[in-house]
Amino acid sequence: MEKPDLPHAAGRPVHISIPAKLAFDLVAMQKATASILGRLGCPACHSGFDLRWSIEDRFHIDADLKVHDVVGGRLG
Amino acid sequence: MTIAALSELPELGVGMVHARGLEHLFGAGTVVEVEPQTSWHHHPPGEFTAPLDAFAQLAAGAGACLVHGVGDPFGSTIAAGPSFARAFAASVAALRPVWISEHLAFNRFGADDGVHATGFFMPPSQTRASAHAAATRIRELAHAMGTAVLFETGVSYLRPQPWELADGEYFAEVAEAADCGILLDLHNVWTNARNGRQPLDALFDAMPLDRVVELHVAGGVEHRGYWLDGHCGPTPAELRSIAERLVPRLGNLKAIVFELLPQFVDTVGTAAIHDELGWLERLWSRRGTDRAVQPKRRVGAPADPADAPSPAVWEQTLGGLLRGHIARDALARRLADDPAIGLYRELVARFRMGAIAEALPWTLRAIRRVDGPQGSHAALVEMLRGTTPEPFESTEALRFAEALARRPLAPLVRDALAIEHASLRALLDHRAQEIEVEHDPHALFEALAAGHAPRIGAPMRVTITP
Repeated sequence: MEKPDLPHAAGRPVHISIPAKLAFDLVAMQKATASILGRLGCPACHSGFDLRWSIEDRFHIDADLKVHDVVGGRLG
Repeated sequence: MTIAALSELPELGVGMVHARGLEHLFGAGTVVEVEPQTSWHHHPPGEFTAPLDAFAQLAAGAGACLVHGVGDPFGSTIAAGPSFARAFAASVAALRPVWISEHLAFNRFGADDGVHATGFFMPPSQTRASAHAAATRIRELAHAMGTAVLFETGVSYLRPQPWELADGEYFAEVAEAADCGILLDLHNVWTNARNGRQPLDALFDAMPLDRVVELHVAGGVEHRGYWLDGHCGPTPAELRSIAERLVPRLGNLKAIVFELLPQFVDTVGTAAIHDELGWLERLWSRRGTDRAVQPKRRVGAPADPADAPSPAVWEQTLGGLLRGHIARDALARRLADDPAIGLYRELVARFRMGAIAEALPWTLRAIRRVDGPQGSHAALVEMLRGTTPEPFESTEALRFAEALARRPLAPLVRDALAIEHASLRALLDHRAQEIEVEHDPHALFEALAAGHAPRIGAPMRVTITP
């Protein structure tokens, strides 16, 4: 993940700018699926379980942005 | 569209439902079925916008495009409204589909306090009245779009009611009243049969199979004694056999589409997906070749029984039960006895939780970090209890974010929520959002992703750009 240069201004709050997609791109990278950016609309067609809640519980990434599957080990 | 006109539609072959990130599975010239509303924005309330440039680009790269609506089903007595219709027409113009399909279901209901979303495709009452109401909507859409329109055979976990037409007779009634084609979702009707509704042989005999233009296949999962239409795997072996016996009878079949949700691609695996597509190519080669126009049949009872509820009353009653209302009248009491009502409530809640988990993942992780594993679950359940679903995931997430922001929050949760809420608003409003937080957003994401609590720092102003 590329970080912007942080301006240092003594006595004033630091002010940075980030793109809105940053949070969602990082999530997409973790799950090895598409970004949410295209999926803020209606749910896709199916009449079954929505497992996104469970899947969200399952992955985490380390400081090197490597993805780990909490259940099954490292993904890449 | 007459059967003769349906027979003139181009033969497209095998395709998949489109989802961003799955493009690597599509070969050049693949048939791509697009569910346009999944990538619309709903903001401000009542206004819908479609990503038309992305749709046009998608259409240009596909062998053929099909539009599969997921927002304004034909079984609803309450239509989605003019802004929705404009966005749909614009989506169709950009995607230039060979045909359009939508579900034979309802997703809205009227109540004393207004119109609400069900949060799930619910089955219509299978009466002649509802069949003809759906047929009118199909004809209106076909006229407005100037494109062939199909309805999809839906899933019902409910027990059949004594006043209802059997599943096959109901689909036939709609198809012939609308004079339209059918998207026969084989996994849906197999799911219905497995759960105790009409057996497939009787269903296929009752349906006008010469109107079947498209097939859907998918996999499912068992839960609480029901087989669910989960789109979570390849076509089960038993359903493959059924498809292989049926397809030679389908003289006007023009496409077969495999449905798989993107979150299951990793668990299913690319090899299994390619195996599925290879089987579908073999299945496609067995499609019927008898395209003779069959005589129009009349099916179903001459009139609905006197005790059959109107389509609107059916919607209101089922909608009230989904909200947890007490069953006060005979229809509500009858439906409340069906264990499928509890299943539907659970599935709706899971859809809502899934929407929030996807749109506000860092906020939920922060809650889990501060309040433990049950913390985010408890916050979600509390929100679900007090509100009805929102059909658009961004709206569901914004409403949750705004409700959460009114509560006293730990600094970590407050900052994660502020960043994600502002990110959503920036995307939806197309305007930069200014917030003040005590955690650097990058450090916050990285720490939460790794399961740590990030260090709190000096106040920081953050501009989040669209």
